[in-house]
Amino acid sequence: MSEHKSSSANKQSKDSFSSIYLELMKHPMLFWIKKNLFDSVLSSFLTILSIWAIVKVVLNIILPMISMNWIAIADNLKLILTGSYPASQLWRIWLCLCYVSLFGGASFGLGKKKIPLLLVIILFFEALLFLLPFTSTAKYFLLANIVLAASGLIGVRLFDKEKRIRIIIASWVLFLPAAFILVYGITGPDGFMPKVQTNYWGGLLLSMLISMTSIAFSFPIGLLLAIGRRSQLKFIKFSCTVIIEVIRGVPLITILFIAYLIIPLALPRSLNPSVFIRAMIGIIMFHSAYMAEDFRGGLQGIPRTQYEAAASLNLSKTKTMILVILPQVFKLMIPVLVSRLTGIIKDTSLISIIGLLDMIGISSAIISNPHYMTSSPQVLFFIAAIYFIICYSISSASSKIEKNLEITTKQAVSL
Amino acid sequence: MSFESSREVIVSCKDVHKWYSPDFEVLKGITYDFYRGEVAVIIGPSGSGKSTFIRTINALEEYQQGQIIVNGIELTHNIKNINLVRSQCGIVFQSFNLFPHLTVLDNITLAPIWVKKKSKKEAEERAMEILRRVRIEKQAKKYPGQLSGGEQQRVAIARSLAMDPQIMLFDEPTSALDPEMIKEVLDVMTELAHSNITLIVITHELAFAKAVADHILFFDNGLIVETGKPLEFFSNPKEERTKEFLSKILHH
Repeated sequence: MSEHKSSSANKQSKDSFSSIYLELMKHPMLFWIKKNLFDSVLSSFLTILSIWAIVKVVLNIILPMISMNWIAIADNLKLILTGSYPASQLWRIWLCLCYVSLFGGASFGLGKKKIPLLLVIILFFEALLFLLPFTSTAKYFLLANIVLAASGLIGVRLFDKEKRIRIIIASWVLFLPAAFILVYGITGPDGFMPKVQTNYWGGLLLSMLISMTSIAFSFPIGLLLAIGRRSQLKFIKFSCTVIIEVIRGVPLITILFIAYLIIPLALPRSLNPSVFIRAMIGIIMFHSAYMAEDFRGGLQGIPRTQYEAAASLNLSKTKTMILVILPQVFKLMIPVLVSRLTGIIKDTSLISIIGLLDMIGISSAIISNPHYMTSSPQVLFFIAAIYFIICYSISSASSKIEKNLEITTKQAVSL
Repeated sequence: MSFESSREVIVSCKDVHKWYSPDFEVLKGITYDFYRGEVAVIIGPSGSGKSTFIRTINALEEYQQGQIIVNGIELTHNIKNINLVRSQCGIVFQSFNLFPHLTVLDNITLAPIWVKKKSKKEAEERAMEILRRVRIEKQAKKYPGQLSGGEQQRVAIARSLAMDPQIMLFDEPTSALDPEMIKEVLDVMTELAHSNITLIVITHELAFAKAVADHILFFDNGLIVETGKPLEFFSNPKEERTKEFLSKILHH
């Protein structure tokens, strides 16, 4: 009798437990946790493992970072960002940045009416820069950058739609020449913009200049190589294939050394290109070959019938390429091209090996200074953060562009 | 029909041979004259070379032996002649082959602007006129992927018409369409048949062929087996092969 009672009590408690459980599961958050984190034994195990890993990372890396002494960054900020570029001429680099801010803001303004989240994030990072120990002029320039980005964003709406796009494309095409004129200078030592030789360029400035120039050149060269490789003329096809395959078969470091050592031998002595130019040629060669293969893949993605349709409308081969094929190729290739762009930016760090003082070169110089010997994690963290912010901005901007083009991209794939 | 009176040959083929490879001859000596303004319908089993044949007229395929003269221009390797022929000879494909990155309007104005050097305004006015003719002027700002198959094919027809061709080639224009969309395309083609453009149409739509065609050509195995006026051709075919083919597609 009593036995019976206790078992029924047991049953009752079980029932009440399961009813409580069911009641709890009605709560959306608890349901979400159960469904996504503790659905099976394996997922529960993985959840616990990741929580442990996160706690470890926070306790052992993130928290100590906050309490670290960041004096090495504060002292060497100018070095990391611009190398040994003369301090009196820094306004020229700020002007370049202002250019980027203005037209960057304008490019964002092209999209929908809403202010994009990404821009807010970028502005947030710019605001964070105020925390860095800049001089007061630098802070004015920073402020100017933010104001310019905002006014670009709003100002672009003053123009009608077709003009907007033309202005922005023109401004980005003109950016590199303008930046080089500003950074290199045009006048003698006493003028208002004295020339600054390339061996004074360094840090982030050098990294960005080299990677942007490499992108600007390797993009068209790669495209031409890819088209050449598909040419019906055997000689062009053969030479393009050889160039692409030889370069792709050699590591970037080797190419950089070859560019460093052999280009001066190949050119007349009077030319004597600077290490900067030599490194750039090496990087452009390397990435052109990779770009070429990307473009070849993209070109193969366009069906033969598109060429036929264009031919039947009497479009010449060049016009077919420019008006029909390439626009579709570019749309299909945005993800590939963007990963190539971020790849170029990161690969540029290898130039420190041939003695250029880009961010990596500068940082190893700072670390080897006995005064900052214990600061190596801080310096590396700081550089990693800069690379991350740049590359992440590029890839999220690209995903935005991709979404804008989605309707037409889908069709290109479906056909 | 107007062509009966003028009897002016517009496309003349003499003993046209084509090989895809030395042991694969796809056209085995085609000799036929198409007249200005006529509607010629080509029927035949798949693999009979009919598609290849009309593509040689537009120089999308080369031929190795024989002679094709389009509107007085001999098709040779000469790129100038090829361009001249193509400027008078439009083609509509089975799979539409519209340019997916351009709107309907841009698809149609692309060639008039870049090949015929028309102004944008002039080209767009003409394009809208043609779009009204094929009854899809409301879709002008859409992209091809947003249209149904029948609409896409009508855009493709409009794109060819915008180049003011004297000859239009249709390579199975309704084969990739749902049954209910076939009619809207055939209606447009019927309307074209009453203009003075020469139509050379490959199709399996026998009702269309009976109603619209001036001549039927039956292709088999790389040769023209039989030609004739539609009434005669369908009611009283002469060749055994034609009878066999017709009995198969009439009673499926």
